[in-house]
This record gives sequence, structure tokens and C-alpha cells, in this order.
Amino acid sequence: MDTITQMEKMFAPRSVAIIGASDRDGSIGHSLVKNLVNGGFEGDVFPINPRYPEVFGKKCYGSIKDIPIVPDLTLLAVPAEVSNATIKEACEHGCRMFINIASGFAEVGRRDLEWDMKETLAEYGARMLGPNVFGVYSAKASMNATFGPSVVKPGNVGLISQSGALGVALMGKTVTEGIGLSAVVSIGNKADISECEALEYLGHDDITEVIFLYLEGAKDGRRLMDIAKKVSKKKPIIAIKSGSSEKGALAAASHTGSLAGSDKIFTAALEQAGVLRALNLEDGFGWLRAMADLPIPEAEGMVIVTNGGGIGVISSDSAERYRVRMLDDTEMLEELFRPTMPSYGSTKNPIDITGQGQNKEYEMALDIALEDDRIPAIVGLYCQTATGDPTEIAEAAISSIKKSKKKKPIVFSMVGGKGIAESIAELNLAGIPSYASPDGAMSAMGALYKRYRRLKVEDEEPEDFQMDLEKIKSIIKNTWDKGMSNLTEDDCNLILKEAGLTFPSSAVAKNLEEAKKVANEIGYPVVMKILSPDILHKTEFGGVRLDLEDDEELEIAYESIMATVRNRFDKARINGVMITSMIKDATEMILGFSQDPSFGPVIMFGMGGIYVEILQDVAFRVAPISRKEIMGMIREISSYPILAGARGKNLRDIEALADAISRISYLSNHVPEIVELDINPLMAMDQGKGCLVVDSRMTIRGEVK
Amino acid sequence: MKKLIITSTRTHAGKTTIGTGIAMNSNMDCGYFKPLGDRPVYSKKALLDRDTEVFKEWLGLDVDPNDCSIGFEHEKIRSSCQLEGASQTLIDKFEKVSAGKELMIIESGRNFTFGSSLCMDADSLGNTLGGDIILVTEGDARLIIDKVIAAAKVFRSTDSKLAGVIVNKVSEEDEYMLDEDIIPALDEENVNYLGHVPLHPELEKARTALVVEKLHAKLVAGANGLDKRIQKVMVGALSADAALRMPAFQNEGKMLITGGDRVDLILVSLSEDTAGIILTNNVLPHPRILSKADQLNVPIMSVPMDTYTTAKMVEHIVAELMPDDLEKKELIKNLVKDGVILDKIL
Repeated sequence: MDTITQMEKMFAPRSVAIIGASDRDGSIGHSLVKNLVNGGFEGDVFPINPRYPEVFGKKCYGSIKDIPIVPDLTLLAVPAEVSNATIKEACEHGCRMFINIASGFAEVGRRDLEWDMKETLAEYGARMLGPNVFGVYSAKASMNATFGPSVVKPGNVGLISQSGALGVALMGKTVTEGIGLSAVVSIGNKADISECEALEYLGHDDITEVIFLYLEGAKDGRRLMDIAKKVSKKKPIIAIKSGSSEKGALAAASHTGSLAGSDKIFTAALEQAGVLRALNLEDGFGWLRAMADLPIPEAEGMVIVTNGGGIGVISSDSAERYRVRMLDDTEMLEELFRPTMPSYGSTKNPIDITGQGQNKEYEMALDIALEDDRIPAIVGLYCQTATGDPTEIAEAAISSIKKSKKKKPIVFSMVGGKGIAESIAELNLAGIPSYASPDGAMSAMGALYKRYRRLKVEDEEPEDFQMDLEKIKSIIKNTWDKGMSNLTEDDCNLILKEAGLTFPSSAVAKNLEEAKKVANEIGYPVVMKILSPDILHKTEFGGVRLDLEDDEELEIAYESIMATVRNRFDKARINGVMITSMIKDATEMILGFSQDPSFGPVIMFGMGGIYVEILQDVAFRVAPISRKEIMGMIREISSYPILAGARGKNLRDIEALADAISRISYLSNHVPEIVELDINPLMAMDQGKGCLVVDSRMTIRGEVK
Repeated sequence: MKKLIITSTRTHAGKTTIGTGIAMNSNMDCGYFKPLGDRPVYSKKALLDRDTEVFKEWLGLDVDPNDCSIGFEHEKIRSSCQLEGASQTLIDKFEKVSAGKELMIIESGRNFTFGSSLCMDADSLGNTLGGDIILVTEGDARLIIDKVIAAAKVFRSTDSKLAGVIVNKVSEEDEYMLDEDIIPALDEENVNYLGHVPLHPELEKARTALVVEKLHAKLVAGANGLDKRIQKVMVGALSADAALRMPAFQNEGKMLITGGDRVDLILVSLSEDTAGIILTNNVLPHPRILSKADQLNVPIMSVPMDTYTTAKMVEHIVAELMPDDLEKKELIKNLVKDGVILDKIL
């Protein structure tokens, strides 16, 4: 049975049994029955509890075995300790879909109770939502199978929440905000069904047009990302992920590992999947309202209509921050908007109809903005004045929208005191998303434009490369079989060469005489690095000497490396030194990946060199990534202008960098035995001259089946 | 010219401590020669020996440090001395640095045998350059006696002149061993006892600057606190609450090794008496924490290694003498004056 068919039993059941139903008002077992009945559920409801003859006017059964049919959905409101036995009994009766409301499981350390239930579910091929959830609401079935608010406004927003308490609060907030819900799912401990199944179902659900997701973590990030990628092509997903502080940074030996805090990976994954990530509830709800009520803009460009210069300027700043492009065709704007304002008003975007502007002027300006096809989106601002009445302004805006046959996004912000909150509520009820701050309005417009750009992007397949993966894996296996988890530089280079990356001229020298010979063949200046399987951090052990210009400097460098390393780590096995030509005129970048337990390989690219952790100018993507995504990744770093030839500097070989990232993405995805890779620095040369690997580090694990 | 060849029974026994102590108490115009370097400092493409810098600074020597040693690595020395031979190079360099001096301190490599294949061990130095050999030793009484007797046999076999033995780092509770075991055993072998230097805790403590140098760490805050002396190294594995309950955590001069994401522990460690914080795995805390560390002069350094590797590396850092450590200079001068029988040496 596919996921959608299975989930249909949860979101659109024909019958529901409530084991642990209660006659006691205020108890969970009572609220579940009450909400189901009062919510208008049209299917059969079977309260089950041997203590009561009936619950909330419905006949109550002593046991699941006593009810005349096999219910599509079974709600469990029984103590944690008896959950498994109850599920087993219900499975014996034929039940296959459960919502386990009870708490007292993994969240208090009783993971064992969840393991028992999972075993039972697997034995019978049954599914379960929870435990530790507040239930499910589904507008499609008029089913409020929750112990949350009894009044829910049906609509087009699907809500998935990992937090029970926050989920209940969000449900309540949608009621006061007038946001209609198509479904609410609380996913709790995710012992079986997780956000993945819920998202897949709501993505498929006809009445859900926008999905709001609150997450604290994902057990299978890769699966979530794959599902979200598909769903976000059809409908917007807004996500709030808590725990965005750096506390969760991974402890790893590589730059990539340490910079890739779990939240950064999550953010990258959600972005790649086309999910709109809100950083707080205010933004999330603001975007939700805009997505639920408005069409997506059809082109870049927006006008601000305002009666105050101050909030106009604040909004212009916000527009830049949220990447909303303001229309700047001054002639067109002058021609269109001059009649709406006194002579001292401004037709330069923001359109300032001045404090003299009342409902008539607003309506006129909004009519023009709505009707002219050259204006794709509108932000209306109102600053309370001594003479104006906000209610009239709101009515003018509503009238303007009602008149217009054009479908374009318009958001509003009203700032002031008396009457403002009521006017905002009025606009919201009329389907014009309105906010108490100009920043909130612009943030919502920014989200609409993000969605617009997402829909414009066509998916592209990651590149395919010819790499001898068997050879790469055998190098790794050889090292692993020797009991080592870090590759020598020689082996690391071999793998990267096999992956198609390029290197400066280099050669291994076993002693000083060979080193001199090699350096003269390569040509000075050169770099000398210790070769030792025991020294992973060559620089920190004093094993690297740069910019050696002649034999004399080379001799001193050789002696200093050997003496320093022996002084610090006299048991180190030294296999010689690597002599490499010194690259000078280039930009130092970093490229690497680490295997995230939830998302798999995560690629990192950014500014490299010794200050990489301090600058933290890096971008992340979950592999594999297409060329288009790679170019976005390169442009995302703050130092991109340096690569693009800022301030008269040479343009670096961005195509070569993209090729290197693409190859590393392929390698990371096909050789899971590589746990972490750091190429630092990766030297970006002038355009047409490629990019060169100067130093790299690779950590491996045993064969991954 | 008086020539003293300072050697030891094992590495880090205290040759430089004894050498500088004797020189500072001699009231003679001193010179220093250490043919085989073992404390490399690579800077601006030049390689120097840290001990040479210490002598130069503490004794005010007007000498090019490059002239004070021949090299560090056997392979390099063999290669550079192949034309004229190692012994000739030794003599030439020595003549250059000893010209006009009343006292020359000649320091051997790690121990009395080190450099034998290059004819630069203590015995060969005695034969080639002449002078009295002073054997510095430390440790357990039985080991001291065994090693000194073995060394004495070597020196006698080639007629090198062993002036005697100085026992270094003698703890208060071990002093009885000198009279009961060591001195009688040396007398029996006709080896002179030249005094002892007590174990002084301050000499065993490194400054934060040395840790930054030895770990090649990135100093990210608190540069003004690098002179602090490390009294206690701690690995930050506990919670902040638990750490605060540990008496050792209240110690002045503590150095903490922990991950950059252990914000709680870093914050409770930020006090003026903290000698430094080493952040492992390249994870850096918020810039505000770094700014606070700057205000309090608490050096914070970042290393790419994990905490275990870092702790092992810190543990192996020997509290070497540094040229600008004038507190240790005075301490050594006084300890040698009080403990070493200088009349028998000079």
C-alpha cells in the first residue's frame, strides 16, 4: 500500500475508534470524542472504555473487539505502559492505522516502549502517528481528532508540527488570525509516521494549498528533502526549524565538519528543496497569510504606495533586505501617479501621496497600480495622521481590490494607534494580508518573490563523470585495512586526481638530495610538506614550509621540518617530503564535504586559507548538486566579487571552480566511505587557467554496503 | 680560556639551565657553542636554536646565532660538511665564536651519546675541542648512578676529562638520596660530585606564548595575556556547573582545553587569572566572547585537532627556557649559585 493510500485512512477515515474515551469533562479521552462529534465528523465514532456505557452521547464499547466493524482510524488515549498491548489487541481486530496521543515514551527516556510498539506495527503492517501528539485535524473529513481547540476554521493551509504545545497554540492563532486550515498534524516523537509521510500526503491533498511546517529535527533529512523538493514545485512550504544556534556544531577534525553546524545544513537542504524558511513565528505567519491569500507575482518589480516618507524609506530598506526589486521607471511612475497626489508628493518609488492623501487618493493610487500591467506587485503603507481615518483607508483598499479583475499580489501595513488594529483585521478578513510593521509586509512580499523565483527555476540533473570508483575504493580500503582512518597526502591526491581535480606540479622526495633535485626540476619557488601517515595536521606540527626560492632555503626548510617534527613527535613515521610548485597569484578557496547522518554528503565551498573559521564565508549544499545550483552556491558567498574581478583584479576561473565542485559532489555521492574531505586551499587561478588543489585532507570509514 | 662541555644522561635533563647558571655566576667573558641544535625555531626562512637565543639574551652575547651551531639534522650536517669533514667544521666554527672569550659553554646534543655518528657527541667534543665535561643528570637514584657510571666509562676510555656530575631537579623529599646513595656511589667510581639544583615548580611551568608556538595555534583573542604562566591544564569535559565546583577550576593560571561550542564552560573560564583557553576542532565561539577575552587578557587560541590529540600535545610541551623570561633567568642564577659547587668548576 503506498503512503498516500495509507495516509488517507488518517486524514479521511470513514470511522474512528477512541480507545481510552472518557466521560470526564476536561480529560483527553473526553476532548477527543467531543471535538470529533462537535467538529461535524460524518463517519462512525466508537468510544471504547469498559467503565462507561456512553461518552458524549455516543455508545461506549468495552473493548475494540466489541465494535461491529474495523475502524479506519484508532485513537489511543491510554497510559504509555499499556500502549503496546492495546495496539496488539486492535491489530488482532484488523485495525491498521493509529494515532497514539499518550506521552511518557522517548521524551522521558522510555525509548524501549516505542521499540515494542514498532515491532508490533511491523508485525501487522500497521502504521502509527505519535506517540506524544495532540492528534489530527482534517477539513476534508470535517474531522477534529485532537484535544486542541474545538473551533477550527476550514481553509487551505496544512499545518505539521513536531511540538504538541506549539501546534495547539498555532491552531488557536489561526482562528484569531482568520487563517483557514485544511489539515493539522502533530507528529510528536515520530516513532513511525514522521513529517515525511505527512508532507507527502498534504502535497498530494487537493484542498491544501500552503503547508506550514514546524520542526525541531529530522530523522531522515534526505527523505524529507526529496519529498519537499517535489511538493514545493506544486505548493509553497513554509518551515520553522528551531535550534538554529551554533550549539549543535559538529565536532570534527576538518574545517568542513566544524563549519557545517547542523542548522546550516538544514537551512541549505530546505533552500535546495524550495522550502521557505522563516526564522520566527511572526514571519512564518506573515508569509502564510500572503501565500494562502495571494497569487504569486508574474514578474519582478513592485511599487510602494504610502502617505509617509519615513515608512516609505524604511520599507525601501526592507525591500533590499528581502530581495524585492522596486520598479524604477520614473517616467512611467510620474505619468501614472502624478494625478493621485499634491504637487509636492513624490512619484519616485515609493509613491508618496503625502499626509494629505485620504481614502480617495489611496483608492485612486491603488486602482492605477492594480490595473497597470507593468506593475507586478504592490505594497500599501499607511501612517496614521491627525485628519485621516484608518478604517476609511482600509475600506478604500478593499474597494479597490474588489473592483479590479487583475490578479496581482498586494500586501498592506498600517502604523499608528487607535483604530489601526481593527483596520488591519478588516483588511485581513478581506484577503489583503496586512501587518503592523512595514518590515512584516515587505518580508511577506519577499517570500512571494522567493516563491516566484523558485517556480521559474527548472530542475537540472547533476553532472555525470567517468571516475574509476573501484580504484578509489581500493585506495580507501587499503588504508582502512591498515587500521588508519586518515589518508596520507599521497593517497588523498591520488583519489582527487582520479576525480579529475588538478594539482600544481609536485613530486615526492625521500631525502634532502632528492628534494633538491626535484625542486630544480619543478622550478623554484616551491613548497615543502612532510609526508607522514602519523601527521594529519601538517602545519600545526611544523611540517610545511612555503615559498622556498633556492637550494639554500630548501636545505634550511628540510632541516627545520625534520628537526621540528622529531622534536615534537619523535615516533612519527616519516616517508619523506612532498615538493610542490608555489602558487602565488591566486585566490585561496576551500572545498570539501562531510557526511551528515541525516542528509548524507553536504558540500561546502567558500573562502579558504588559514582564517576560514574566522571569516566563515562559506556556502553549503546537500549533494548531489547540479551546475545551476553550483553557480548559485559560488555566487552566494560574500567574497564572490573577489572571484568576479572586483576593483580591477583579474577574473578568476569560476567555470573551473564549478567543475571542481561538481566533481566533488559526484565523488561524495558515490563514495560514502569518505567521511570528510577538506581541500584547503583550492587555488582559483585566472580565467582559463583552472583551479589547483594545494592541500587536502580526507577521513574515511570502512566499506559502506 | 676555560671550556666547559655540558652534557646529560638524557634529554631535557637541564643542560641549558646548568650552562646559563654557571655562566651567569662566573663573572667571566662568556661564549656559547652548541654544535648540534635540538630546539629548532624557524622564522623568516632561517633556522635557529632556541637555547642559543637564550644564552645570547641572558648573557648579552654579541654573536650571530648561526655561528653557534652547525645544524640540527644528521643528514643535512653530513651533506654540508662532506668537503672539509665534520670535525674540521666543528673546529672552525668554535674558533670563530670563542675568539677572545674567557669561558666557553659548549652544549652537547640531547644526551652524551647523541651525535656520535657525526663525531659530535660529548666525548668527541671533549677530544676535538678540549675542555672539562660536566654531566647533568636527573631522576631516580638507581638510574642516575647507572647512567653516570656508564658515561664515566665512555669518557675514561678515550681520556676525555669528566669534571663531574650535577644532579638537577632534586625534590625536597629526594634530597636524602644524594647523601645516602648517589654521592657514595660516585665516590666509589671516582666521579666528582659538583652539587645539585633543587626542583623548583616555577621552572617546570610554561608560558601561554610557548603553547601557542608549539601547537601552531591561531591566536584569536587575548594577545596581551601571552606572558601568563600555566599552573594547571584542564580538559573541559564537565558542565559549567560541575567545573565550578572543582577546586582545580578555581586555580590561578589554569589553561582550559575545550571545544569552541562549549560556550558555558568558556564563559565561566573567562577571568583575568586564566592563562589561556585552547579551542579544539576549529570551532570558534561568538565574537562577543572573543571580545570579552580581549578585555580580560585571556588568550584564546584555536586548533584543528580534537580535544584528546590537543591534550596529548600540550602534555608533551616541555617548559623550555625563553629568551624574554627574565623571572626564570634570575631564579636559575640563584639556584645554581646556591646548589652547585662553582669553585670546583671554574
